[in-house]
Amino acid sequence: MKLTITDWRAVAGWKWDVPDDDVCGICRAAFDACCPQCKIPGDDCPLIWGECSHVFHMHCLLKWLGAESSQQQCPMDRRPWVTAS
Amino acid sequence: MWANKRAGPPAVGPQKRLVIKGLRAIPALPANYKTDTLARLRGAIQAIQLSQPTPQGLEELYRDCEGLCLHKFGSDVYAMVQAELVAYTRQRLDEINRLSDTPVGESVLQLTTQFWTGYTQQLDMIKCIFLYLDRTYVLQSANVASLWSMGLGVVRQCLVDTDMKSRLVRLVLGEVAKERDGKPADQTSLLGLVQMFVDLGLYSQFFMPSLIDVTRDYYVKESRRLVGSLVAIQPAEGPRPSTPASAMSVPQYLVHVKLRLDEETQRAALYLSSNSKAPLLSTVLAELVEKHAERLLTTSFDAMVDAHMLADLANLYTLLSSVNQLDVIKRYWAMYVKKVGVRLVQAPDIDVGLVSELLAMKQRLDDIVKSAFQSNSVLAHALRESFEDFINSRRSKPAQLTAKFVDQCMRAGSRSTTDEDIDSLLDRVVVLFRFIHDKDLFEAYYKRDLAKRLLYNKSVSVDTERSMVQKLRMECGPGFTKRLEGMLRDMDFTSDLDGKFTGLDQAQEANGIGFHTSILTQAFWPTYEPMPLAVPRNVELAQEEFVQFYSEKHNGRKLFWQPNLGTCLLKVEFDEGPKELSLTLVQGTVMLLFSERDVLSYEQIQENTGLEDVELMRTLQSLACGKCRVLAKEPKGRDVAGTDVFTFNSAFKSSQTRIKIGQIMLKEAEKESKEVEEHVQLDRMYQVDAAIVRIMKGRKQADHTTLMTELLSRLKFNSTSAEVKERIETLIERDYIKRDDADSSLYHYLA
Repeated sequence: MKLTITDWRAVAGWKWDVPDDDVCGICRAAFDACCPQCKIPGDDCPLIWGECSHVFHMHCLLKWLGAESSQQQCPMDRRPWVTAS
Repeated sequence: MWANKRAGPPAVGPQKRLVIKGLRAIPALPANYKTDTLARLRGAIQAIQLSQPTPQGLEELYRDCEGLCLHKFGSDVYAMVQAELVAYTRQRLDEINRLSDTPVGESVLQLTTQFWTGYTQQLDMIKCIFLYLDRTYVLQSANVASLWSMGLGVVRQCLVDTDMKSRLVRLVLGEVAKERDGKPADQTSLLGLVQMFVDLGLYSQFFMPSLIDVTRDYYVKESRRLVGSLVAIQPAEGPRPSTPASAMSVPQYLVHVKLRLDEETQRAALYLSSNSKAPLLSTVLAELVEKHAERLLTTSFDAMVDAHMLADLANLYTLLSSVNQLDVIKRYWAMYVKKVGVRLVQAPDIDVGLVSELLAMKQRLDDIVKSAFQSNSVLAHALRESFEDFINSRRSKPAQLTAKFVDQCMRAGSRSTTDEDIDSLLDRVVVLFRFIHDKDLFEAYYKRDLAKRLLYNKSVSVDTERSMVQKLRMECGPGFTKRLEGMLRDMDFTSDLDGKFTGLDQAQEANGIGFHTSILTQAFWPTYEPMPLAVPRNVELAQEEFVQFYSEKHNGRKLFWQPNLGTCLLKVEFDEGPKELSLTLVQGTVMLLFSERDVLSYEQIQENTGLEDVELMRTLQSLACGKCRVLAKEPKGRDVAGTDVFTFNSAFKSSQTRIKIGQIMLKEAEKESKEVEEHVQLDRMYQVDAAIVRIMKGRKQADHTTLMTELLSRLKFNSTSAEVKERIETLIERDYIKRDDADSSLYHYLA
């Protein structure tokens, strides 16, 4: 071999694993953006997946679940909310 | 026993009687008692006035006076003393007054001083002799002044009656003028006479106004002469050209003024009454400085600042601020700063050098404020304000250049070597940054440069990066630096993660090629256009290993490889021997194609890498047409065409063992800055939109001008009204607001 790799420094960016341009069902803001309470998207404003397959900004969902009217249900399908592991 | 005797009745005998009768005749004074005594006293006064011993002893004279007073002749004695004093004063002063202004012997001033000294001494003596008079008659009668004041009153009256007062004042002032002209003056006489004026109570009502008048006249003339012929500042080096004494430059003039002030202060201390110092000095200042402030500054202020004449500027500052002309300096100071600054900022071909020039300028001007202007807060503020003013007179460029300048400082191998140097330099840049309104633009550029420094490992040190971000955070708050901090944090996480990954068994493939990854949180970093690139097989395997490892650690995240950011090292066997090439990932991928085949056509390369034309051409150009040609191109030439054929250049030679081949950046840089600006512009648009909606939501309706004023006060960046109008139009289109049907300048908020 006349050419060998001795050092390879790759760069990768990460995004939430959701379809592009999908929005949070609660705040209607893009998942790649953050919930209305936060300013900067990323680690500080994570997403949360339910077993029902629905995704929300974690802050949005926690606020929803905190409200009495929610009855601990997923806002999309009214099934009891169970966070996917 | 004897006590009894004493208590007993008086001896018996005829009673004796003591009778007291009135005087038969009242004892009369000798007829000539009063006249004689008065004559004796008069003789004594005259003897004293001639400085001769008195014929009688002083004790005797005192008794005489006492005697007369006891016989109620006080008023006669008083009248006699007064008459004697008047006669003597008249005679002496007339004698002096008869002399011309320039007599042969002693001058009028000298004689008057002598007279005055003698007279006061005599008066003192007379006062002692007639002390009894002072204590009895004078005290008991109303409207009779003590002998001392009467004595002074006599002289005053005499001076006023004979117009000698004016003459003396004129002569004294003449003497002062002589001294001002640098000729010797009769200071003793001046002192004596001024003392006389003070004692006679003529000083403040009469002498001082004339003194001030004359002083004013004198300095009006002098300043007219000097200021009228002010010349430009001569170069500091070389002998001073023989200009006429009257032609001065402003600094010389200021020194002259200071000299004058010192002289007047001395004069006041030496022989003028202490209360005349303040009015005297303020007259001088008013005439020499205040009235010419404008002229002085117009003539030379800029030149003085240019030449950094600290001492002279300090003179200027002290003089002008002592006459409350600080506003004038402030105006010229601000004008100067703006003029110089605008010249720098508006130059058509500015580059990063601008920032160093601005820093140098700031340091120079700060120095002036500190050393010459005594850190005066008004002037310091004017400096800051003017800086802010001119630096924003050109849009975006200063922000961009400042960011670039910081990048140059923070790159490894920059000029300043020690951390402290960089730190203090950065501190100064931050001061400059404070003035810049386009802070968002700065952040965008800074972010891009920071990304490159971090990913290409070019930063001086992580600590410096952190401290700079910290400085920006202090300046603009955590919101501004959140992304930058996030980037630094990503780098920390990355090395942590990388360490864990390379320690794993499953990372075999990766460890074989020294594979490392930086993981970026998309939201913090600048957005890069995704680039298609088919990486070599072993790299692909390593990437897969990593993705698997990563998704185990972080659920719900997707990784995007960004081949346009990474770097690699390749060991290449040339004829000369093994070399290490430091390349970008794209360059590396292209090079690796030649590990199996020596000759590849452009099309083959494109097919194998999946690169787009622009990127591929750029890459091949750097490898085959740059300084280090590790590929040979057929046909030869500077540019790459789609029909070219490339060969591995095994004959490549270099003195170094590790060679870095830079990507061709030029066009990229231009494109990049355009991109950045567009990005910032977009961000601003959203901010404008949001601000408009917020204002309208609060007000429900607003006319155009109100909306504009409030909007501009809310926005942190400069925005033209045309841009804002455009945003208003789109908001109307999107039904956020609407125009009033009748009044087109009125907007309504639509809920």
